[in-house]
Amino acid sequence: MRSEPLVLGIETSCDETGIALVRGRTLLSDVVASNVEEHVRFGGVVPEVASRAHLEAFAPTLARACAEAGARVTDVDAIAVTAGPGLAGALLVGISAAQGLALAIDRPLYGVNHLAAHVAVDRLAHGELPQPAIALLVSGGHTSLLRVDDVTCDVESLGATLDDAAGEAFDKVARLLGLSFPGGPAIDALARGGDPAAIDFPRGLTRPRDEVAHRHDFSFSGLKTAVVRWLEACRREGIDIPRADVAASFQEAVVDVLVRKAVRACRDEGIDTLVVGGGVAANSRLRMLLDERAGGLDVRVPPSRLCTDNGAMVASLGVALVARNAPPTSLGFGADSSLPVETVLT
Amino acid sequence: MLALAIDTATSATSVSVVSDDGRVRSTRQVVDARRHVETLSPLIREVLEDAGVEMAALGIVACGVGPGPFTGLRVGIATALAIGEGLDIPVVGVCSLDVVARAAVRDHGVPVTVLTRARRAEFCWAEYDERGLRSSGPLIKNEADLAIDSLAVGDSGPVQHVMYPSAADLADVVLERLAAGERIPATVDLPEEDAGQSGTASARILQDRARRGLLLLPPVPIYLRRPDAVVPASVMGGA
Ligand SMILES: [Zn+2]
Repeated sequence: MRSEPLVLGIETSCDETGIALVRGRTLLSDVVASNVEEHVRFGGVVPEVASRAHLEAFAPTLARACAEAGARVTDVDAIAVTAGPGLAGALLVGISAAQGLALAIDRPLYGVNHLAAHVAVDRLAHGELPQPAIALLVSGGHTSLLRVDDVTCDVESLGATLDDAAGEAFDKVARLLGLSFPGGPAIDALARGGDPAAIDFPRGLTRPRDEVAHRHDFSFSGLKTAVVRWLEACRREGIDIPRADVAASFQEAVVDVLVRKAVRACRDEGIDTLVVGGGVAANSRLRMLLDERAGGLDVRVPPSRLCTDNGAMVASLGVALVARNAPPTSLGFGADSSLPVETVLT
Repeated sequence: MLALAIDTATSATSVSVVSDDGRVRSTRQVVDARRHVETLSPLIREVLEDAGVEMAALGIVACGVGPGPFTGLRVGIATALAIGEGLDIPVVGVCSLDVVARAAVRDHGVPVTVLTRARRAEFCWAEYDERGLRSSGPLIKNEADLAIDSLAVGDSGPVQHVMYPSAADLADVVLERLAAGERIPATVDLPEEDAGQSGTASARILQDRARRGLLLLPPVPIYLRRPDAVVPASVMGGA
């Protein structure tokens, strides 16, 4: 029997340079050089800073990924790289490097969709994905509900955020509470000492008429405004801000809507597998609420380190594409900062 | 030894294969300021095919490290680095303005100023003597500060001659310097390009190296400028 293909995955769509080697469903190495530290003082990801950091990190990250897998670059059977969506300048570094590498070692190259890769990474944690499945992707850049009939070629967007991404809302509210960037982990930690029912923050797009027009969509900008108003009112009245309660109540409002809509999408579509991905999937309250409300659903949440951006997700999707004999992408493809999720392979 | 040379520091994407006797085996250039990544890899494949050279026969990759518009510049350097990793061969950088100066001095035999557009009303700028050696720069200057009395060349500046850095000339510089015994500097010899610095520190190091007749650089972009610290209202992508 021919051994399973060895695929190198390259991810540079935001602030993590991720390079990983996957053989079949086995993650041989997964190296992430994060440049998040360089963005902290700006309170958000600065595209030019990220692009510089990706170029700097590329060669050492590749070397480490190969060393940890005990492989040489030339052992690789195929290369997969994130082609979009993401920051154009950042994507370009990974795409250029992937094309150079594919040329040098003469291997097929797959330019893939970052969102589909967030779904495909679950193969590595829980085995081949039962399909169809519903995917909930939540991060600083995306908040999407997807119907996945085949992660290599048939992904449909059911809904997405109309304004802020969930992770972005965490960042903004963290800033309001004087917490550091990125906001997700900071709020999660602070919320542990707070009461999630202390403040009744609004749940976006859950009114009856929204349930028709925006059944699977999300909105977090109203929630952020509500937090701002609430904090202003405290200051006006000279009340000490109960920061932990604000964090817990805000977090509850976000994850309540995420879980409610994700579970309902499964029921609506008659699908009993729910995959969760993206950085916000690491949120402890989200995981708890998913457990509570899943009913008979098979809820698959990969370990936190696979939920955030990394090369493993890209390599995992690459393996699935190779297994399906998908035609490789021709050299010379570019970055698509707003690549639609329906385009799994560019 | 065969050298593959790449330059993407200007609107042009230039690729050449040159053998160490100086013979240009094949060279191509495409001018399109917004399509470096779409152009580069197919062009490399074309040039190699045209030269009848297999990837595995390459001994070194040379790339222009700017200064120039960052996005295009990084496409060339990232591609060069990856080819170096894939083939396990060295990658060396050359200041792209040096490459233009070499051709300009060869054609005209006089001291030249090389300009290349940086951004808005600013230009990257360097001066060269009649032998083609850099006497000052690279630096960033405002259009208004430039008093040009010598021949000026570069990419879309207020220039008398528009020339792009040719990858064949780039390979020439590298092969000549290697033959003269100059070593490829490790990245640590040149400080990382100023994430927080003004760029003057690295400009000084480049000038100092040029004064000592050293032109080979690590494959690290010459930015000469701090990144614009503007956080977009909504960042697509992200974890
Ligand atoms: Zn992501």
